[in-house]
Amino acid sequence: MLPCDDLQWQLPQFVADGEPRSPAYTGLIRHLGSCACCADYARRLRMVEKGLRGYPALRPDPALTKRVLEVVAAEQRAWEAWNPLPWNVWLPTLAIILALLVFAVSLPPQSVPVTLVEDLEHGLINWSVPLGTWATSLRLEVSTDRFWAIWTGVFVATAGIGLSLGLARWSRLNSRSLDDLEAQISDAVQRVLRPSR
Amino acid sequence: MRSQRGDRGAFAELVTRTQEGVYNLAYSMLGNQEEAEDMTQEAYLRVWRALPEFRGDSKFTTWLFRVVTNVCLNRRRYLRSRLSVLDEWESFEELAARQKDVDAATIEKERKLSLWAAVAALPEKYRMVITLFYQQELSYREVAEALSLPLGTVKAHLNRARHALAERLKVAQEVQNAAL
Repeated sequence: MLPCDDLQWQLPQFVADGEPRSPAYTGLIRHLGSCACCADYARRLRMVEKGLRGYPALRPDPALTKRVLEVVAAEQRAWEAWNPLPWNVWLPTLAIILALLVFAVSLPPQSVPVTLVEDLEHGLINWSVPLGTWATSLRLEVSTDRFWAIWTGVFVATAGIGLSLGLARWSRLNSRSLDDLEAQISDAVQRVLRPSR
Repeated sequence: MRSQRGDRGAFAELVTRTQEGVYNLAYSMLGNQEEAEDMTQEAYLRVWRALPEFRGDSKFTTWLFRVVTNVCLNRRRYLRSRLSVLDEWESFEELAARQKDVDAATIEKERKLSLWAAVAALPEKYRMVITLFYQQELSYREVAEALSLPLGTVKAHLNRARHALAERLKVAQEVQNAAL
């Protein structure tokens, strides 16, 4: 005969599991047949179980969905205004552009037609005076080997970091599907084409 | 998952399907309807932000409930340091009576109402497991994941809650018998 105190902790699980007739419960079932106190406890547990199976969910205010979606929409607008392109697109792009720029201005003068360089410089100055001035001074400075080495190193490293971050992002996206990635790129393109949205 | 790509329509559908569970879990932790609504809103905002990082290692609802639990725990800590709002539990009979499907006329219904009122009076850790297991019909394992608890602890909490409710039922029946 099992002591009642032990049963107090076995009975709730036994009743919740639907009172299975398994060998593990043979002693317990036999005890229930002979102990009025435990049988009464089991009866109350059955009532509890039945009551809890119908434990009702409170219904939230119907306006709550609207409130939630408004907050999310505001969040999305704020994010898009602040960050029109995802970082995993603009960071590697910026790094690659910078690296290419340095590569272009670092080419030995004899390998690039002088007129092309002058045209590029004039174009840059017309577009942005500070940027054009910077490019001109950079071209002049590039004649020294040390300067070339430092800047190339810095920008190639930046490009590398950008690319690796982009690739890390890519690999995480791959855990879902390529369709998701395609959709994300398409979203990014749409945002670039229609920045006012 | 379309919501993960920022599709607000898909997210709206997701909110509609899950908000009752989220709200009820928040209510089981905070015991106040306004607070529960505010934290439901906060939880969805966090879920929206974190959706691109959701990798599907667990069920979405399990992950969602874990976010809700964290949001509510933080809120409760904040409230406890300022107000005693959490002690002002609303009467569950009142709330339950507002539900369309509650017919308090029968004895069976009255017994259930008093049982549900007793659930509201249980310690929070028991209310949470009851809400997720019985109301949201999560499995033991899912409840454990949602609350970041070991499986054995979830089962123990549920058994202690059942035991406490059975004891309260006994006291209520004794009071009823004495009154007759």
